[in-house]
Amino acid sequence: MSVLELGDVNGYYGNSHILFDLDLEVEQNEVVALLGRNGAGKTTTLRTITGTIPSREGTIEFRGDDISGDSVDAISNRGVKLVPEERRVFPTLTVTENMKVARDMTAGDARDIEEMYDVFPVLDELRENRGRNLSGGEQQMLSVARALIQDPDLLLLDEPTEGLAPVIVDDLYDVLSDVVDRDVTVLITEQNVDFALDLAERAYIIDKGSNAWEGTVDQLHEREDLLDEYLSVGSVEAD
Amino acid sequence: MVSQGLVLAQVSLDLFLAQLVTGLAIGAGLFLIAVGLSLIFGVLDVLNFAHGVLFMIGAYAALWSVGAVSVPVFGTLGIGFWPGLLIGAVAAGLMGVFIEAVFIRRVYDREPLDQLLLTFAFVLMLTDVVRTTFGSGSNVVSPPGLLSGDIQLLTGLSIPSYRAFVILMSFVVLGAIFLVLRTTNIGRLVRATSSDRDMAALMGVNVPRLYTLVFFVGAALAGLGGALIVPIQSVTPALGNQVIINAFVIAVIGGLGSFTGAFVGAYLVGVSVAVGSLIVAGAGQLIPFVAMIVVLLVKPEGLFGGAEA
Repeated sequence: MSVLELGDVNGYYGNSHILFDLDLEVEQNEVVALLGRNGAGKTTTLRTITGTIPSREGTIEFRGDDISGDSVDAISNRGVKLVPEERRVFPTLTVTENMKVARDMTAGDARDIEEMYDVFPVLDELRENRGRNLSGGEQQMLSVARALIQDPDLLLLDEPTEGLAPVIVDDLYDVLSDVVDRDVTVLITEQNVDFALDLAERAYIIDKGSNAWEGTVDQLHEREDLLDEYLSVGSVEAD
Repeated sequence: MVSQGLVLAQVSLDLFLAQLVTGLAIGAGLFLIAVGLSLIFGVLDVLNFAHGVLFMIGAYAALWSVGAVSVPVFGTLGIGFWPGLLIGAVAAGLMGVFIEAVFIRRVYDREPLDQLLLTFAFVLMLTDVVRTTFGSGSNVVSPPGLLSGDIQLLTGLSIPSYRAFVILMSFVVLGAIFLVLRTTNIGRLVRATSSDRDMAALMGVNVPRLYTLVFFVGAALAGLGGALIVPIQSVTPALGNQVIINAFVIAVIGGLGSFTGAFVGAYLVGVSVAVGSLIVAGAGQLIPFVAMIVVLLVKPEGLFGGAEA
């Protein structure tokens, strides 16, 4: 049984229709990349899965259960954890407090905070610093650590490298490839295609809110034309 | 001439100190209402106009407990002052939960004006319910026996024990709030949710349930404050309207959502009302409003605005 299965999903922001009959499937322990231009509907897809966008149609199944009508916290408590694009660390809480909130709110068994400090040595040195005083890269590390503490069944990563310096991106890659090795199921969206494809086994390309292509990462590497057609950075259509 | 001047100075100093002490007690009572208002605004982002009415419910619950008023069907309770503090806090807290869970919850995503209008409706309704139930007369009770005397501070300057107790309670409440918010799991959760409720929900927090809990605590603090001031202030159904204006003035001066601000603001208002009336009778009431205008012009976020939680 797949961990996540989206069937004919339509998503709306107010009156604007963003997702059109989207299909998507993530198997246990799989890392799947969700690719597409800016504005293609990647973030909306993740928000549809987390329940943040209330107007959604179609089937969204998590481990066989229909979660399309569940509230955000109910979906989270099933084990679906999002690392949002904006990182969203709690600004007035310290690094440790951010982690403790995650630990306390874990429905099942939470991972150990000290274990996270081993995985993220950068954060270890910043334990008592407030979220708002962290750099973008540090906030991203904390946001990922916070999700991992909750021992997710499905980890959703929304543009984790956005706005990060190349050297930080390398650090993040090391951490995430560790995570992937631990058999965590991941759905990742990225503008940085190389970053996503290095981590992922399969990929979906979406364009204007619809499925454009799906296949393995190996297949995608042989289709440079797809990358040009749907992901080229210089495109004027990007919004 | 000289000695006469000294005597006058002595008299006015005594008077000043006495008014100062009175002002502190008024400030303590005001803090207990402003703190719940600040808590609810800080976490839920809701301006609860009905907060003064919750304060009044606490006051009437205390009157009922003492035996000063009777409730239809239930009659008088008459079990003394101390249980009244608990009854007042719980009664106001439960009324707060009813208002939040059934009504305010539906307007969270609307404009602040909608929230104000909704909570103002409760001011009008509950004021009339209280007037119908208890009559519009004014009720005064004496402090509990334990606190009926005076405490001598200096020669010639004493403070009624009960007022000292109310002042002490304001410190206890402020300390307890900081302790809970800073050191407990639930406090951390409240701070996290108040800074980013969407992220909190994504981490599994049942935000509506947490909001209801916070509203209960804020409303219960108002009820406790109302019950506490019963031996100091005469209680009428208009009490809620009187205190909510002062509470908003305090919130503006101290900074909405800031507990330190509510504390400092409440004591500033209490003392300026009491001491100001020495200068010109009636002028005391004016000073807080002048202070509010100055703060709004110079530091619109309030003296301690945007600093914490």
